[in-house]
Amino acid sequence: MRPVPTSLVIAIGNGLRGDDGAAAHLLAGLGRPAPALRQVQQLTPELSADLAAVRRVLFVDAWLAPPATEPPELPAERWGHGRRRPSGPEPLLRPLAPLAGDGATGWSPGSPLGASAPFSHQLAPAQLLAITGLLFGTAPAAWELLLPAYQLGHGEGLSAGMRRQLPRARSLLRGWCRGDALSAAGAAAGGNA
Amino acid sequence: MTRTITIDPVTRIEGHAKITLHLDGEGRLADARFHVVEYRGFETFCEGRPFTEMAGITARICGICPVSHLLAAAKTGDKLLAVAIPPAARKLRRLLNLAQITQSHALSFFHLSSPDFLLGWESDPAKRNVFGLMAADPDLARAGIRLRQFGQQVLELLGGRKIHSAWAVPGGVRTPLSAEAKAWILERLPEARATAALALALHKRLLDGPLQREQRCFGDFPSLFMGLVGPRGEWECIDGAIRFVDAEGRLVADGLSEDDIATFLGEAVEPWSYLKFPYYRPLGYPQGIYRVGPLARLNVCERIGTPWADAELADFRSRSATTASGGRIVTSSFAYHHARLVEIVACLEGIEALVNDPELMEGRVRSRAALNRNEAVGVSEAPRGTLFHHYRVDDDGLITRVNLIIATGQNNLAMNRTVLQIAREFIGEPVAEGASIPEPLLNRVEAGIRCFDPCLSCSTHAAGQMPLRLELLDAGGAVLAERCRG
Repeated sequence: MRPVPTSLVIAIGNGLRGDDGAAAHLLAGLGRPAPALRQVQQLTPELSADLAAVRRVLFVDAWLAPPATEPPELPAERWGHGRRRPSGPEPLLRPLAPLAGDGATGWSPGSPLGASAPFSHQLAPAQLLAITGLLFGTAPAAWELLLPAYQLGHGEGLSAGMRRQLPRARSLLRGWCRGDALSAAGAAAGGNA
Repeated sequence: MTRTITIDPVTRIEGHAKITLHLDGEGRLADARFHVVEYRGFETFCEGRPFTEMAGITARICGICPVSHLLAAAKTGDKLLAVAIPPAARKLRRLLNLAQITQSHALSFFHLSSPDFLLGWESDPAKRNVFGLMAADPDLARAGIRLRQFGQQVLELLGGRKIHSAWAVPGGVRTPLSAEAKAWILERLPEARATAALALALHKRLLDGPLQREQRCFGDFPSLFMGLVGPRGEWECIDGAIRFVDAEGRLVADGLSEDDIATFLGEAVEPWSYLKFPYYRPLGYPQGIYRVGPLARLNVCERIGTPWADAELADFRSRSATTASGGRIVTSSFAYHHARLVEIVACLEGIEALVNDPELMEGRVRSRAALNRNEAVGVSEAPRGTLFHHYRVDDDGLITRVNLIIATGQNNLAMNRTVLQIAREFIGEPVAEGASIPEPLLNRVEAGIRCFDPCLSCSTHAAGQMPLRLELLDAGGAVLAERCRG
């Protein structure tokens, strides 16, 4: 019987669009301990079933970074190993909350989710978390690892700017996974497959 | 003075399109046009590529049905190699296609179409989508999501990824099914069957109640129907021969080979759409209108061949088939929805039979050979209908010509006729100049297109709410009136 994973990493992006494939590239080099992995081009509602089955989830995605800018709302780290505040575009790991809305589920048809996502092929991570809570009654603790992208045109391969960020991104990813290993050890010996 | 009503974009379909309703000088509906306004040009940029790459390239046409192109390309490649693929490979490809049809039909029913049925045609458009369905009936939404997830997971178990897998190749497939994957499929099948039963019961209740009018007027007209059938006329999804039947159930053509496609299919073009207009060549254009896809597959087959699906097929015909066909042929395009649910049952039973077949797990899965032919046509049943790939290659195996005849294109004539019929039913004629046309009526026109679940080489990236725009234009193109959703 395959052990039930406690953590899930979802790599978002298209490997045929330059730096957009960075998340999948990052996961390909991930050693042990490895959580469950998903590689997708965009988030769809079906992933809510996967999210409902784990305690922690990490979304890894590229974001188009204007030079010398940062993603908004830089958060504090949650698992204790400190890191410096970024001074420019660089990989960013931060906690993520379900999209806020009315009601206990965090979402209703009249909420921003309903207004911003009437189609089924493309969701933001916060929307997917809200849907997971709505449909399954529970949603995992969530983080996102954002990778600054410089080139999203047609073609495989990463830009030099993205490649420079990979060691830092890999370090953040492994740190997140180590946290997963520690929590899994407390829950069930050997249960972090 | 003629006028035109434009619905742009059409929502909850796979791709970008718009609808125009053309009024004559008296304000009566004279014509309807389903415009496909995106162009991707796969046929051209495949030229010069090795035919062995075609499965991987053409699978990129779409994120919804890449498996269909993958299988059609692989089958075409088999014929260029002139090899018979191993029995296990043939069954593994079938398993892949059954899973693909399951997940695609689940998407169509639960995500795209059921919000209309369950939330109501007059409900707020901002809420009339899968997310509104989640709020209104989370149990049903969850079941639908997990059914689609089941199909997608089978695809991933076989091909290594949910979309754009290059698992099927000329000569067979790359890898067999693992024992672990087989166990997972068997474990999840009961839940998938329960969801299919739930959806069927729900849809039948709706057909018996609030959806009777739609069943009658959503594209109910005589046409030919085309699909693959097995050697005894049974439902088929990947092998077999091509059959045409007419609206009275008569066999128009049977036992056709895709190799002879030029003798029975023609392709017309119109200046206002990038989507071609295939037609049954012996009847000419546009008299050779035919339909493909779930409704057509159920109409052309004698039986499905598995117990539950055959019982559902009998019920489908008893509910909806025309008297003129002796209870054999269903002509309403609205019945595509019911047909999809029957096909989900067929797929689930087929998947169960295949994973319990010892031959699936035995022997070789790939035949290897060099190029032996310079031209081939491959065919498979995509969720939306019959899909043809036609390649010509040089002696080095490089593509010199490609023609892809896709399911949505083959339903093009029927979609236009469906839209016109719905518009005439729900939009009162004559349409007064400057008259307000309620959004629910426009939604029904869109819903007529959704019956066919058209896939326009999916490149949709919905950012924000898709607006629905209605324009009333005079003969010179000037906007007389405008209405926007959202």
